[in-house]
Parts: sequence; C-alpha cells; structure tokens
Amino acid sequence: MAPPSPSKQLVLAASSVDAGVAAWDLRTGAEDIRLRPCASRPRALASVAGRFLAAAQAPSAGGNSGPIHFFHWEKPQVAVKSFPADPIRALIADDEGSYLIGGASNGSIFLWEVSSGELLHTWRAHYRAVRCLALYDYLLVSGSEDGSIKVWDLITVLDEQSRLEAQTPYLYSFSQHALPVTDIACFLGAIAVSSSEDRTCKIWSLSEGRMLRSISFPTSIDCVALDPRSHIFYAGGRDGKIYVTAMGVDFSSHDCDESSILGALDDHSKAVTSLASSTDGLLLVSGSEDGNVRVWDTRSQQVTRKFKHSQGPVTNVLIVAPKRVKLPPLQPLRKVCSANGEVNSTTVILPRPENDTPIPGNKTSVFMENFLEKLQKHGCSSMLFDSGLNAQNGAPNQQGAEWRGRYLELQDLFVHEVLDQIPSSRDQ
Amino acid sequence: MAGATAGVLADFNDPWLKPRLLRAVVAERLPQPGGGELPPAEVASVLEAVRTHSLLTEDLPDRPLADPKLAEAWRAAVDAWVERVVALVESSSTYSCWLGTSFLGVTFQECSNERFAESHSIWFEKILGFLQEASSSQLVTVISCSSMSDLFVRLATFLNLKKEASSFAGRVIEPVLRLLDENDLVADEAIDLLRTVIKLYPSSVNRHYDKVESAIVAKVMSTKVNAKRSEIFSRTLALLPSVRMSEDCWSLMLRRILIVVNNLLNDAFIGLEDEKKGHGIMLLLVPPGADPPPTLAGQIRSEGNVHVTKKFRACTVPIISALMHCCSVMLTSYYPVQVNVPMHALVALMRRVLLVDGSLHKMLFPSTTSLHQELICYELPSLHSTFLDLLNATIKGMRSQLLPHGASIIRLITEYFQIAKLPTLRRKAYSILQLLLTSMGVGTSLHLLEATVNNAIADLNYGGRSDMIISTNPSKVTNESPSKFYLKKRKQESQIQNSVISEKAAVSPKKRKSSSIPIALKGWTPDSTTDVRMSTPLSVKIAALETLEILLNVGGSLRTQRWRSDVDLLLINVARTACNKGVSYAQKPYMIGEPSISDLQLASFKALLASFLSSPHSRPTHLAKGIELFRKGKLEMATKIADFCSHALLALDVLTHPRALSLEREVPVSSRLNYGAQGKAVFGSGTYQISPYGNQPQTMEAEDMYNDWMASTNDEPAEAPVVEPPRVADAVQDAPSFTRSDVKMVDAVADEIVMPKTVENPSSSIVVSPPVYASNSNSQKHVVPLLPEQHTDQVSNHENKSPTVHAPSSKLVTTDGASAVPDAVSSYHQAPVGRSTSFEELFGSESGVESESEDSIPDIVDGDPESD
Repeated sequence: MAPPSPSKQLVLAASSVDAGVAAWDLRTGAEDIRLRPCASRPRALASVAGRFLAAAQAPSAGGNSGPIHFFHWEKPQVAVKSFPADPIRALIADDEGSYLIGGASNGSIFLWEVSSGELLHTWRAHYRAVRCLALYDYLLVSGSEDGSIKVWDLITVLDEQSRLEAQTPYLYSFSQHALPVTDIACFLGAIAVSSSEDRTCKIWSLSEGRMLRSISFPTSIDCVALDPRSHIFYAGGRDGKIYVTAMGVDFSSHDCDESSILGALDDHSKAVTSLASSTDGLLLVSGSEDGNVRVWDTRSQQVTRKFKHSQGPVTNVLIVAPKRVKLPPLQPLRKVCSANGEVNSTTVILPRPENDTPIPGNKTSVFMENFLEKLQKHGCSSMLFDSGLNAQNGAPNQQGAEWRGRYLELQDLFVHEVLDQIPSSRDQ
Repeated sequence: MAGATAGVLADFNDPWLKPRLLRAVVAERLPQPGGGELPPAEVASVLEAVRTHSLLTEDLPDRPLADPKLAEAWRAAVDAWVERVVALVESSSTYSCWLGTSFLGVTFQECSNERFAESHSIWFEKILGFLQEASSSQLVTVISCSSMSDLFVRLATFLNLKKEASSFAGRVIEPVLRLLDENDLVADEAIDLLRTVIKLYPSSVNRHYDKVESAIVAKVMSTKVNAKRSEIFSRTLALLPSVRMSEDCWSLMLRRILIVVNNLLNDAFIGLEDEKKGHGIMLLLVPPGADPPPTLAGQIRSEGNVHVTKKFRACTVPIISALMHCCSVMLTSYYPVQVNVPMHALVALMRRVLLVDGSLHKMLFPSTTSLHQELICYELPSLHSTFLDLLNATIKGMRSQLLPHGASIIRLITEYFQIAKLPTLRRKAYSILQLLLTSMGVGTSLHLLEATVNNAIADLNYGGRSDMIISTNPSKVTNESPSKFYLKKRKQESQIQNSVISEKAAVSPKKRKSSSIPIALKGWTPDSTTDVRMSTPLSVKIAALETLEILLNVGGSLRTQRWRSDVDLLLINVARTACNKGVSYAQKPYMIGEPSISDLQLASFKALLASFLSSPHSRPTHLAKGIELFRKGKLEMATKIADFCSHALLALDVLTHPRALSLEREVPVSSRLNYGAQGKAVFGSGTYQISPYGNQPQTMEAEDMYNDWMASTNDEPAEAPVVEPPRVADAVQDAPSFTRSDVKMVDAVADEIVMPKTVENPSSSIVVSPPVYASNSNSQKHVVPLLPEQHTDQVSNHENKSPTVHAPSSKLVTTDGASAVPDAVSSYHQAPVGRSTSFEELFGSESGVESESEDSIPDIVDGDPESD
C-alpha cells in the first residue's frame, strides 16, 4: 500500500541576514542540521546534484567580497570557501553537478567546473546585476536587474572558435520585461517562465526564441516555481500571496490575462521571496520576508507545516535529497581563468556504479551446455578424449590459420606484382 | 502430500521428487570414476535435470514446517552427489576428471549456502591442482578455469569468508598467467578467470600487478592473437587499474596507451598529414618538463622482421584497435574513484585519425610511396571504425563533463561526415550524432542541425541516388548539393522580402531534387530493373532516420522555419515509400544480418511519429496521411510495426484531441488550417507530395507520377471531402462547449470567412502574390502588417463568436454547388493566412488549386462583402 519510502528530503532555507542555512526534514518536520555561516541573497543557494550545497554570500556592508561557501550535509561548518572576482548574486548548478554557474552583481556570468574548481569561462552578460539563472539542458537563461533575459548556449560559450563564429554571443535576448527580472524556471519542452518586478510573469519558448504569453499580476512577483506536471505554476508576490497560475490558456474565455490566475495561497504576512515545488508536485515550500518557511499541500491549498527560520527575511528555499556519496575533496572555485587553456586539459569521470558489469556465476553450466551441444553436432564423443586434446576445436583453427597464411601470401604476391609492374609498364 | 512419504508423489511440485530424482541421477546416470564415457546427450540431460529441478539447492520454500525427514533425505542425496562428483574429479581417467570438474562447477552455483561454506576450501584445492599441473589435459584445464571462476563468484557472496577468498585468489594468479601462453581455448578461459579475480579480489592481484600487466600487454601487442581474442585481452587490461584503485594508476594506464598509439600512428601516417601533429599530441600527453611515463611494455618491436607490407595490416592496425578498445572500455566502465582523462589529447588523437582521408599531405615526402598510401587506404576504414567507437565511448563516459569539449567534438563529427562514405562508417557517424544529441540536449541540436539534416536528406533521398560505395564523384554531388542549397536558403531568408525571384533561384537545387522524387518512386515499381544496389544501403538509411528522430525529439521546435518543412515532407515520403516497397517487394531477397525493409519501415514510422509529436503546430501538415499509415501498419498483427503503430496512434490521440491548454493565446493558424485534415485530401493528396518549390509544369508532371504510384491507395482519401462540410458546421455549433479544438475551430471558420479579401490579390494577379508568399515563408510576424484587414476582422470575429460565424460559413458551403469545391477552396484560403504555414502547404496549395481557382475564387470574392 505505502509507496516505497523515498530518501530523506530536506527543506533548506537561507536568509539575507546571517542566520545560517536551516534544514528540516520534509516528511517529519524535524529540524536537521544548521549550516553556518550563511547570508545569501535570493537565488544564491544551489544544491550541487544533491552532493553538497553551494551558497553565494551577500557582501558584508561596505565590503566588496562575496565568497561562495560549500557545505557538506553532515558538517555544520563551511567546507570550502571560494572568492570569486565579483560578488555573486545568483548561483546555479547543472543536474549532474558538473558545473556551477554564478551571475555577478556587475552583470558578468562565471562558469566553473566543480571537480577542478577551474573557472572555465567568464563573460559580460548584462549591463546590470544578474538576478537569476536557470538551465534547460545546456541552455542557460539569465535574468538581469536591467530587465533583460538572455539565453546562452553553453557549448558555444565555452568554445572560442564557436564564439567567434556566432553572430551574437547569446542565442536570444528578450527585453520584454520593463523592470528587474526576479526569477526564471525552465521546464520540459524548452519552456521558461520568468517573473519580474513589473508585475508580470512571461512564458517563453526557448526553442523558438520568443515570448508565448505574458500574465499580469496585481503585485510584483519575486519568485516562480513550476508544478512538475507543468500545467500550473506558482508565483510568489510581494503582497505575501502565492498566485496559482495556469500555464495554458483557456480559449473559451476572452477576458484579459486575469483568467490565468486560478487562485492564491495566502498565509504569509510579508513578501514571498522564494518557492520550491517537490518532485511529486504535492508539496510546495515557500519562504517569506516574515522569516517563516511554509509547506503547502497543493491539493487542499492548506499550510501543512510552518518553520521559523529567523528574524530576518528568508531569501532562499530549496528541497533537496542529500546524496551521501564519497566525494573527492572539494576544490575552491578559481578567481580567474587559467592563462592558457592547457590546465583544463583533463576532465574527470566520476564513479558510475551503474556502468558496472557483474561477472556471471554460471560459467561452468553455460560452457558445458555449449560444449555438449557442439559435441552432439559433430557426433563424436569418445574420439574427443581418446585422441587426446581438443580435436574438436583445434582442427578448424588450424584450417583457418592455413587459409589465412595462403591468403596473406597471395596478397603479398599481388602487391609486389603491382609494385613491379607499374613502373615497368610506364617504361614501355 | 501425505502420500509423498509412502512413495506416491502429489504432483511434480512435490519437494519429495527432488531427493528421489537426485538419488536416481547419482545411482543410474553418473558414471563410476574411471568408467566409460557417457554420450554427450546424456550428460546434457543430467545437467538439465539438475538445473531445472534445482536438485542441489536443498531449499524448502513455502513450507513453514519443513519436514525433517524430507530435509534429511535431500541432504543425504546431495551428499551422495557431491561424493560421487569428487570421486570423479580425483579419478585418474581424463574423462572422469573432466566430467567431475564440470559437475563440481555446477554444484558451486547450485548448492546451498551451508554446504558451500563448509566445503569450498576442499573443492578449491582440488581444482587448483588441475590449474597448477602442467600435465593435465587441456579440456580439464579449461573446465577447471570456468569452475574456479564460478567458485570465486559464489565465494564473493560470503562476506565472512573474504580473507580466505583473497588468499585463494592470490594463489590462482600465477598458474593462470602461465595458462595465458597456452593455446587459444585455454587462454580464453584463463583470461576469463583472471578477469573474475581482478574484479572480485583486486587486492590480491596487487602483489602481482607488474607481472599481470606485462603478460596481458604482451598478448595484446602480439600479432599472433586474433582480433576477437585480443579484444578480450584488452578488456582485461582495462580492468587492471582497478587493482590499485587509485586515480593515478588509471590515468597513467590511459596515457601510456595513448602514447603507444600515437607513436604507432606517427609511422603509419607519414606523408598523409602534418608531421607535427603527432608531436603536438605527445606534448599534451607528456607536458614539457615532466618525465614520460614508463612505456607500455617493450614488446612492440620484438615481433621481429615482419614484411613491410604486412606490418601495417598485420601489426599496427590490430594493435591500435585493441588498445583503443581498451581505452573505450576504461572510459565507459565503472571505476570506484574519480579519475582524470587527458581530454585534450584524446580529442586531438581522434581528430588526427578521423580526418585522415588517405589523400597525401601537401608536402609530399619522398618516403611516401603509392604503395604506402594504398596500404593505408586499405586499412583506414577499420582505423576509423575503431576511433569512432572510441569517440562513442568518450561521449558515453564523460557525460556532462564533455561540455567544454562539446564544440570541438561537434566540429570533428561534422567534418567527418564529409569523409565518411562507407556504409559502416556512416552508420557509426550517425550513431555518434545520436549520442551527442541525446546526451547534451537542445543546445547540441543547434549545432548539429545542419549536419544532421543535410546528411539525412542526402542519404534518404532516393531520388538523388546517392551512391556512396561505387564512386566518389556522384556522392559528392548528392552530399553537397543539399548543403549548398541549405546555405543559399539561409542567406535568402534574411533578404527574403527583397525579391521573390531570387528566392526561387536560390531553391532551384531543391527543385531538381524534388522533381526527381517521383521519378525515383517510379523506379521502385516492380517492372523496372533500376539498380537497387546503387542506392544508399538500408542500414545507413535507418541510421539517418533514427538520427532525425532523435533530432526531432530533442530540438524539434528549434529554428523550425529553416528545416522542418523539408524534413517533415521527407519523412512522410520515406515512410510511404517504405510501406509501398514492403508490399511490392515482398519477394526481394536480402542478406542475413542486414536490416530488412520492415526495419526501414519501423525506423521511418518512428521518425514520422517524432515529427508529428514535435511539431510546433498542433496539427502537423501530414498528419492525416501519417495516421493512415499507422492504421495500416497496425493491421500487421504481431509484428514490431504493429506494436509501434498502436503506440503511435495512442500518442497521436493527444494531438488530434488535445487535452492540454495551449501556452499561447493566439493559436498558430496552421492548426486551424489543419483542422480539416481530411478535407485537405481533396487536393492535398496530390499536392503535398510535391516539393514546395515546384513550379507549375513540374507539379503537374509530379502529380501524374504520383498518381501512378499511388494508384492502389488513392481511393481512400477520396471519400473524405464528402464527410467534411457537415462536420465543420457541427463543430461550430458545438463551439461553446469549450474544448480547445472547438474554440480553435471557431477561429478557423472565422478566418475562412475573412479570407476572401486577401485571396483576392493572388487570384486576381500574379504580380501581387509574391509578397504574400514571402511574408508567410519568412515569419509569422509579417502577416499582420501585410494583412491588416484580416487581422482586424479576426478580432471582430472573436467578439462575435459562434452564432455569426456559423451563418456565413454555411453560406459558403451553400453558395457553391459542388460540395467538394468549397472545401478545397476554403483550405486554400486559409493557407495564405497561415502565420506559420510551411512552404509546401502554401505553395502546394497554390499550384494545386490554380487550375480550378479561376472558377471557384470569383464565387467567394462575390460572397465576401456579404459575410462582413
């Protein structure tokens, strides 16, 4: 009856004031480890394929360095600190955890290889700070404070020759948002949903490179989360409401976009800053400036759990299923690209147990079956052992070797003839 | 059950059967030690009895209250079996030894845990004896190896015996290494046993590491070992680093292999490439200043004086293949720690080999003789094949880590397609495209789009007779002409609005191609004897179709205007040809081991389904024909095609009866257009086969040919138009019932009514028509400015909704006498509106209708003012 119990899922929450990353068990609600120190701005927390947590730190007042902290799941203190050249506003990792991509407050994007810590490439992406990043396959979608959204093809970005050949460094550039883009979520079918302070969410087709739809909201939207079935998405508003919004359009209604908003989850007293949807779509986690994290049952639209994080505003929530795998020591992320490309000449392969091929344990019986079958076919059982060794298998091989020998001789002969004759015929 | 003890069994599941059966086997069927030989059939039946009835397991399942008597009886029976088998093993007769060892091996696999734990060490000693004795019979040695392997596998399941097992494993290695030098049969089993030991007890091999390595390397490098066997050896070599379980060990092995291969290539490729290439790769493998790693055994030269002509074929190429196979295995198999791959060197090496096409490098070396070139050209296909496998393994092994090198690999494979003419190589190249597309997703499809589409079109275009085997010249033409056309077309697209004439000029190669399609189709009729051999082999076509399928799956909606219409058209054509061929050429002989026409059919169906499902519009252009094909295919009971067709129909059901809501408010018009998918058949059945670029005379010709060819199937679509008009009316009335398709239909009808205004232009004068055409082909955005009246009308119609819409639409139907004509016309009218209409819809309809438009259009134009 009961479905197989999934591995432990944690709700993580970070705040913009230094209150660490709090973790709660999604099912039991029990408080787990608290990772300190961490003070992150929105979208600056990334789980690297469930192996560890990366959190870009907000620069301290007056300071201009925003380090990136790596945390292991078991240890409450920072495992590795990296110091990127510019403070990172938005941080994201790919699904396999091979790369970390950071958007800086000066509009640059940094792309690191996790295994080596190498900065593979950094480029100027936007005029102003990068506020949010999202990945679809290897298309990177970046949203900026200047209201623009750009789509980057990482294969092109990472290759010098391709960069030179490409007409524009980006694949698409969208400028339909009038105010800072606050969050982007991608989904199957190359669909992206972006939210903005201009009180709209826009749906984009990444393959066609155009806007499909724009949905207006009564307030600025700070975050979006997609339902895994992609029929609705949640938009967290500055008014503390989470708007449940239909992805598709109902053609029977010809009103304006308001029809897309199906309802609102209303319990936060202050702006909803971040949302995360569980993989089964049944739970939604929201973090708010009121310092609370709420877990919603999406079917009943009720709050099922409420976690108090701190006095400060919650800026990031994540749902992660920590994978406790043996990790090679984490490498700090480099500040600058290595001068020549040579350093990056090696690439790692991680252990993939699924590639393991087991050794069969029934070799004898298989061997016997084959052998006996062969014996029966040739109909000479007793001969085999009397005449000593392996008459059965030796003979064809000898014959084969003999044929091969002859064939090679013939070919040599032929080659020589060709060799000898061509000049001679010319001479004539 | 109660009767079981009394001698009568309840049924054949009665556990009492087992001890009895086993006792009977031991008493009556197993020979006494030193006894005569059994016929092989008898041995096989004993083996089968033991395994089928699980006679040795002593396992009493679903019996909570196990009968102690039964357990005792069974135990006694197995004891007797073991005793007899061991007696056989100890016998002096070779045959008995062999039989005993075999059954002992079976016992390892089958017997109960307790028994195994108790007696394994005795058994081990017995078998080890055979392995150590140089004098034992070969057959006994062979079976001892496999029995030993089974013993180790079973032993590995006992965690408490790990220590003992490792010490056993350590003792086995020396004798096994000796056996490697014996003849092939023994060496095969010995290497298998060695692999088992390395895999299960790596720590016990560690002590012998160097010895094991040099033994295997000697074998791999030996020219006396045949290809299949050296593959097994190289797989073992690949396993060897797991003995030390360290990152360095693995990387070192890989680098040493690459160095050996690189050096071998230096000799081989003299004169065929830039001589600095080899050195460059060496620098990547051994950074300047670093000590070079120890060479991978020095045996390469030891083979003595092989004749120079033989050397390359008999020595260099097999060794490279074996070593590269080893690399492939290393890259793709599990290694317990994270390892570093010298990726730059690996890619450079692959590039080095794959781009050698046998032509002489500019600077001709005096040493390069035509003989040398000939020898290399002879072996290049197998070298290429090896390195394509390596590339394949690299992509598989590196997964997401490949990203920084993605672009260079994409360039490599794209360039390689120009060289790959042989079917096997081409097939492998396609498989690499597929792998790249699936592993790196939509981003790659952006880069591979052009290569995939061009090559697939070249391979699948039966009209082009693309001939890749027989001579190079024609194939070059067929391979290049599409790409030229492609480039031109791309260029044209930017300036498409400038002139329609240039557009037509640009697509002229396509015209040639399209006109040849029907001719080729004719070539397939049974009476013609045109060369079937000349065309692209089926295996390549299938690979091309599979690649297209994956491309459509991954990036089907990417930059659609450039390629989708071509590919969609191609796929429906290929699928239909494949089906027809299946009918008319049922008797055609084909080679065993090669794909048959039904494989092609299946591949084309799969690609076709992908084309439908990934279509950016909700109603793909050729959907109706596709569904018809799938329906027919479904009737072929119990074949893969039938299975797939029912799957396809299910998948398409979502497309034909959409359940999800659209993401866009404005539906692409083509979906409305295609609402009457069957209605299109009125003229569509003829025209949609024609290339969008065909001009008038050509289309007529093509249509005729097409009709010839399709004579048998033509009757089915013909009935569709009769059904169609009432359907539209019905649907419109249903419109308020709010499914999306219904609502779309309202739009569709709205457009129909609005359309005549815009249609006026093309029908009244040909001079005006180009802009309409250009706007449609170019992009959707241009439609609105070009057709302002239509746009506003559409809006107004939205407000009016179904009641008003319904009236004019019925009027439309009634104004014309014939029921078929208005339908054709209405679809024609929709075509120019098509905001994302594909080329051939537009052009096909234009050319197809032109003849009848003169009488039908004016009717509508007259009716137009009334409808507003």
